[in-house]
Amino acid sequence: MEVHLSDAERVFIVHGVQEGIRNDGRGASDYRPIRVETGVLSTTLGSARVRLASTDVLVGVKAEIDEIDCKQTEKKGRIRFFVDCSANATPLFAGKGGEEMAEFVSTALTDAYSNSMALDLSKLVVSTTKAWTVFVDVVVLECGGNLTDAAALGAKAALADARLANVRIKASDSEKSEIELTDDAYFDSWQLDVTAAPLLVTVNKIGWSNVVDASLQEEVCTKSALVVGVASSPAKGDLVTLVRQTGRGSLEPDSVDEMIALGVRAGNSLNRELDRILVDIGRTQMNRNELVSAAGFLSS
Amino acid sequence: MRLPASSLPLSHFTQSSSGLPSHSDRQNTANMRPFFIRANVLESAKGSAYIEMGNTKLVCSVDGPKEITVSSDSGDAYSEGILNVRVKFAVFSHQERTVSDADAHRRIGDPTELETKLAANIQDGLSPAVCLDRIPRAQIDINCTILEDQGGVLSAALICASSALADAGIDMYDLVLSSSLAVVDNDQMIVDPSTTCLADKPISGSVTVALMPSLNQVVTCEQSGACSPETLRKAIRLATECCVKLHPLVQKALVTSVRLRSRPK
Repeated sequence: MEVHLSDAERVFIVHGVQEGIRNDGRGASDYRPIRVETGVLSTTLGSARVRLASTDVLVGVKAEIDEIDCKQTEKKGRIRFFVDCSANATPLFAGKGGEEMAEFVSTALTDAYSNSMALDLSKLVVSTTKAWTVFVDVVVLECGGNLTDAAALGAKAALADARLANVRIKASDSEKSEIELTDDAYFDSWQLDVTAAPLLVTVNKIGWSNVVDASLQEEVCTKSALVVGVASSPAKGDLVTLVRQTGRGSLEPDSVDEMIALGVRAGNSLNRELDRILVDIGRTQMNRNELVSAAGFLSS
Repeated sequence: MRLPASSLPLSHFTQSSSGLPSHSDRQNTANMRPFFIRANVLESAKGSAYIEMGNTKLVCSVDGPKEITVSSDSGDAYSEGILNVRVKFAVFSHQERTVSDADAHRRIGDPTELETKLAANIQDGLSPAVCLDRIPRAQIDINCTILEDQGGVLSAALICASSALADAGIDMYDLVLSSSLAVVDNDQMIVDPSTTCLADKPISGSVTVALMPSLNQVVTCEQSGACSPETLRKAIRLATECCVKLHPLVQKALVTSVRLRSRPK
């Protein structure tokens, strides 16, 4: 939905936010209702669907075994993010508009994950010359504002859901090596540790106030915003993994500090909630697995 | 000539043993790399500037305002002008010639992934500083050629391009000054790092800040890597201080160029 606001509507929203009143009655650090589902796509190793009010993203994780770049000093796998903003999501994405947005979200995700804390990429190594490359594909089904945050939530949930098969590489005499896979790839698999994976929080500056999770109308009223990547690792506590300023406005140095602080606060509570949801989902899945095995071993 | 994918450049083996001075003691603003800027370096362009930050060297030229040629998607593109930034890395600008997967299939002359990203960053950083509302339905072309990239290229490009804009006589709210710093493992900060001085250090984060010094407004704030919120706050503060330090140097370069221009031939 394309949003056109008259000057009067704009002033109404800006003044409201400055008084601490948002159109839908939320506080400055409140998110709209979030729904997370995992395991929604059977063609992927892991998937998630996130609905943040009317913003809807679908994330699939796939992995391929690749050669390790010989220039790297330490051996590790790779993770790559791709975002697809189709014109279905909003008419604004028709033509090049979608590409720009997609490029922004995918680089933000790539940069937020490009630190040694986010994911232990050395676990992706399968042999001295080969490692997994994990592809995270985000498809935007509908855009109702705050796409970046929704995409990051989806990416983390999908990565948590992903199951990579245990493989062994058999070195053979010739240059080529053989990849050996066990028969039951689902049960003989492992999951990535996403406890320290970052989430992105977009902090919007509206008037002189800062708000998170702006709706489409509020996004139109935003002159500048900061995208803050927030992770919490058990070892190092709260971490900021990305800060990126967007929009056509400028900010005072002090308000940059305030916005980052708000982003970290909102990101932490979001991280906690997501972890809780993922644990819940994991538990129900485990029950399901037990059921399956019980059925399979009835004869014994 | 394209190198085979599995080869290693010679610099991979020689870099660590090179006799370059170490910069481990760079913790405060006094230890920025040598800085040089000169405006009005190209005769043919309306405005231009050349900058050196250590071994990072680049030239910017500015042309316009002129009729819009690039298509823009934002709805109010015609109520205010736009900046059209093009970035070109010279082939020899890096230690080794690298071709990324995405770049392998591009046509000759098309911008690489890195160039597009940098151009977008420069555009975002400069747009707030230029009075774009005074030039509706017009565009300003900024061309940026990077001769040598030894780190801090975004900062250098922002300063250089804003000086070139000022040199071209385009209405601006303020200059844009920028500075980068790296946070090394134990929360130690290296101001204005070069790629060589970071080569063998474990970096936990890097911060780039661009500032309009007289208005005290931040136009670009970028961080990557992982640092604690407290360290980040300190890093941004320090980077801001470094930006302010460059102000007199850039001002002086602009005054010199105006003097040279007004001098009767």
